[in-house]
This record gives sequence, structure tokens and C-alpha cells, in this order.
Amino acid sequence: MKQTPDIKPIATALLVAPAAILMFGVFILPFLFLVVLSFWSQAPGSVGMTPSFTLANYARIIGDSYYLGGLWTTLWLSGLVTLLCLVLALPLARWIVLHAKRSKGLLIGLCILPLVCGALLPTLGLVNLLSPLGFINGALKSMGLIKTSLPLLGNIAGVSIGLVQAFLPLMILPLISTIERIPHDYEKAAMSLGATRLVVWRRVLLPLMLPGIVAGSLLVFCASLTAFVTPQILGQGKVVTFASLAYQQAAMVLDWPFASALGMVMLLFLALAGLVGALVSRGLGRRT
Amino acid sequence: MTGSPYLRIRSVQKSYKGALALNDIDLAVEQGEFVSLLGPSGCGKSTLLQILAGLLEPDRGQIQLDGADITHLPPWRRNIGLVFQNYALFPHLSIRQNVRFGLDMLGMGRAEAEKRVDESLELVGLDPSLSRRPGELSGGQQQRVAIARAIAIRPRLLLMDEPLSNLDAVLRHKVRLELRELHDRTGITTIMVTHDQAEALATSDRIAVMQSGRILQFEAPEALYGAPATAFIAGFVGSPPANLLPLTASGPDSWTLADGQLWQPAAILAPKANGAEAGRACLMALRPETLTIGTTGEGGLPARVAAVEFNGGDRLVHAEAGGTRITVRIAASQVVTGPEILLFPPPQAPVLFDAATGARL
Repeated sequence: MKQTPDIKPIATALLVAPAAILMFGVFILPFLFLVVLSFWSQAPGSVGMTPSFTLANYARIIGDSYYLGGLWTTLWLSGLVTLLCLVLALPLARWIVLHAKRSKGLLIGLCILPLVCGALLPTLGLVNLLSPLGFINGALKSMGLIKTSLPLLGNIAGVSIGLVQAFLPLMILPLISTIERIPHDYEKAAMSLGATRLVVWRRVLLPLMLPGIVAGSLLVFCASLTAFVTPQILGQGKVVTFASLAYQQAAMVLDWPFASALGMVMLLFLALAGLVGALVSRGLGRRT
Repeated sequence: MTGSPYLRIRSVQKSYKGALALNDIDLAVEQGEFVSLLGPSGCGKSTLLQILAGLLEPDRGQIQLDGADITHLPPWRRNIGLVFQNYALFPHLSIRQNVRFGLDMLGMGRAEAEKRVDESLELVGLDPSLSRRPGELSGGQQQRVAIARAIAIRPRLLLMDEPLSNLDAVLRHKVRLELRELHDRTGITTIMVTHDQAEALATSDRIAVMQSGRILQFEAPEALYGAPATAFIAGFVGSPPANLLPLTASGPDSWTLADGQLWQPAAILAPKANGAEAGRACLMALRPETLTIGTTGEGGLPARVAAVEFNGGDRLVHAEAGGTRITVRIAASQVVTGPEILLFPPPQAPVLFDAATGARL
């Protein structure tokens, strides 16, 4: 049996302290401030804030179809991106697990690449690719497939492409780790028992992949919900997402209390997504 | 029946990345037989099993089952049961759901399927009221569930790939007996892949010994043991396997052993009686339990005792004879005296192989 080294509690505290202090100072404290701020009110005609306890900011979100619309767009856009990522990642992850032998490390590295090179660079690349005079429209025109450019920027299509590109790795990685743990013999056993390939997927592979699907979907959904740079650049201001609304209020209108309330609503939906994910995983845990 | 075998494998060939995994395999199995495919890893036995299951397609050749050509039939239409070394039970389904899986695929009604699940679980000696997940069972129980799942569909053929290899020694022995009993009760034609010759000898009606993608010999266990077709089989089958004594005919009446010593055995063991012309290099198979030990007498093989193992019911004497290690099994009551002994093969026609090809003389 492995022995844990005998470390005194005081030493443990000392080791944890730097990270804990940093987290408290730069994350917890500002976050608590954000919560409090969302109940304050903005002094009319100025940038000053009045400490108070008012639900006016939240009432304004619920009462204004502009903000509700932004929320709704963000939610279904995130759902769409999650679904697209799932559809693209499932076959890819399975292929990497089953067929990539020596190239596996390299392929996984390539999958992670969009995550580590930041949002700005690939998004600007996408602008070049998707714009009316960009590569895709140019190629389609020169092949004579289209006459006028397809609108791929400044709409949901462009934003979805950008978000899928950015967050696909968040789906691929959990899927790969789940699929790796499914022995190939399960499929053979199911087929010998009369299951066609489709039935094998439905009754054996997908149920066993569910933990990975849940984890990946949760990650992609939350990341899409809070994404700012990609929708901003590829949406060109025409796709109103919740993150961009919060940014407008905080950085342009300078209505910090209202921006905080928008942030809290976003957080609420993140928590809801997390809760759904946890419930599904627990249901799965009980079954296996 | 028209006299044609139940399962017929005809000149099946399969290669992986240029290497020949199966080379011109022919095999005929009768209905209700228990057949083992025996060989070391890489001999092609698992490949052959996968071809029978439809999980691999042969490059060439034909598989006939019950008179019909099934060579290109997909696995889900073959109705062939499969049992794996790692059990391959679906972890997200209960034990009963696992056993029912194939019945659901057949579209069987609920009541009938449930009854069949009960029957199958009882056949393998499990309590049908088990409502647990496969992960909560021991290895032996999991393998019983896997067998129940495979036989629940009343398969035309039951294929087992190293079904006992993940079990510990005691359990392996127990389950191996159960496999044979189950086969005798159900009468399902069974093909088992194994690398364990004792397992194959104990369970099978016939054994196909494979090496490098070929079937070397296909016979009943007794025939395989008593009259091995090649030196490889003689040195592989039996625990411990036959001793292979290298010797060269030096005249009609005597052999030269590996260390240059001359051995003049009983007439029936001499080169002349076995058609070995002078200079022919041979291997003589000597079963450990057929050799007797003495100190004096004509035709004995001089040997020097290196070690004696006591096994409870018997003793294994390990001795050096003519530069080769020879194992002899004697009764536990017998005592070996002195390091210098004489080994006497039984006075019957010996099993001799050509030293170069390993083929029977």
C-alpha cells in the first residue's frame, strides 16, 4: 500500500495559502462585489452608483424584449453549437480511438490546438475565410456554383461556425477518454447476438458513451453561453448575444449595476446547465 | 442428413498486412461436437474463430453451416453464440437484460423471453432472480452470464475465445468441467479456442492443433496424445509434454545420442525396426509416464538424476540423458537411488520424428 507522507496541518496550510489568497483576491472578492452590485442602482444621468437593494435591474431584463431576445438567441445558439460539436466529434473521436495508432498523440494535439491559440487569431482567420470576398465565396464563385456571395459573416451561421471551431476540442477530449474505455468486444458480442450496426450504436455504444457526451456537451454549452470574442467578431454586431450585451452595458454605457445583473442571469443559466449535467450523470451512475 | 458435415471450412485463407494468418484451412465438424482449436498465440486460432463468427471475412475459401454457405453473411444474421475471454458483458445493462439482449433482437415476446432467460441462467448454474449489474459479480459468475447470454438465442454454433483464461487456476478447472457438462446437456456444437492443452484435452471431442496458420492435426484427444503427427505436437501436448530425445542412427541396432554416446536399445526401438537408415537424425518421443527407471539391464538409456519433484500422487524425476533433459513420472512410493540410473522406454514401437522436418517417420 502507498503511504501518504506525514505532513503537518500547518505545512499543508502554508502550501495551500498562496493559491487560496490569489483566488480569493482576484476571483471570489470581485465576484461577491458583482453579486452585490447587481442590486445597486445607477444614479440617473451620471456614472455614479447608489448602494441600495433594488430588483430594478432584474426587472428591466425580464421586461425588455431586447434583452430577453438576446438571452434567447444565446441559449439556442449554444444549444445548436453543442449539437453540431457532438455530431462532428462523435465519429472523429471514435475514429481516433479505433484507427489512429502511432498518429494518436499528434491528432489529439491538433484537436487541442484551437484551445491553446486563443480566440482572436483563429477568429480573424475565419473572417478572411467567410467574408463575401473571402476564400469560401471566392472558391464557390470560381467553380460557378454561386453567383452572389453567401452571407457567412454577421449572422448566426458565421457565429456558429466560429464557436464550433473554437469549442470542438471540449467535446472531442471527453469523448475520446470515454470511448477508449469501451472494449471492442462489446460490439462483437452485440453483433453476434443479432444487432445490426445501427442497433449496436443505439443500444450499446451510445449508452456507454453517455458520460462523455454529457461532459462534453456541458463544457461546449457553457463555453458558448459565455463566449464573447467569437460572436463579437463573426457576428459583426448584428448577432446580439448576452455576453455582448453585458459588455455594452459595462464598457460603453457604464451602467455597472445593470451589467452585473446581466452577468448574474448568465451565471444562473450556467448553474442550471451544470445542474442538468449533474442530474444526468447521477442517473447514469445509478445505472452502471 | 446427407452425410455432409454440419460445419465445413473449405480452403480458408486470411492475411493481415501481407502476413499469412490462415493458410488453406480445411475443417469438418459434426453436429453436437465439442472441438478445440489449440495452439500458441499467433497461430491463427482466434482469426479462424472470428471468421466463423462473421467478424472477419476470409480472403479466400468458404464456410458452410448446416448445408448453407455463410461465408459472406454478416454476424447479426448468423445466429452464432460468442463467448469472450473478458466476458464482454454490457455494463449498462443488468444481468437479466444482458441475457435478454439477443432475444430482444429476435423480437421475442416479453413472457417467452423472460422464461428463456430463466432457463439459460439455470443452465449455467446461476440464480435467475439475480437483479444485479455484471460489475458486481466475480469473474467466474460473469463468464457464466456471458455463456447464458450466448446460449439463450439457441445458437447454431457456440464459439468461445479463451473463455477460461481470465479465471484463476481453481476456478478455471471448475468452469472447464461445467463447460463440458453444459455442452452435454444442450448438445450445441461448440468450438473453443485455447492455448492450454490440458483444457483442450479435458473438454473436447476432437482437437485441431494449429501452428503458423495451419492445422497440423485434427483428432480425438487420445489419438493426439498417443500418436502426435509432428514433434511440435508431441512437445506441446501433455503435462508435462513428451520428452523429445535427439538421436542419429549409427547402424541397424544402435543410435548415437546428442553428446556422442552410443545407445543400443531393445530391438523394437532400434533404427532397423523403425526404417531409419544410418546417418538419419531423428527425435524420439518419450512420454514421462511410460518410462521406467532401473539400475541394471539390457537396452537402458544411461541418465543422471538432476532433480526430483514430489507432487503428492507422483514424483517427477528430471534427468540428463545423452545431453538432453528427460522428465520421468514415477509413483510417489518409488524411491530413486543414486544419481546414475538407466531409463527404459516401453517395449513397443516408438514415436519417431525426422529431426529436420518434425514429421512422423
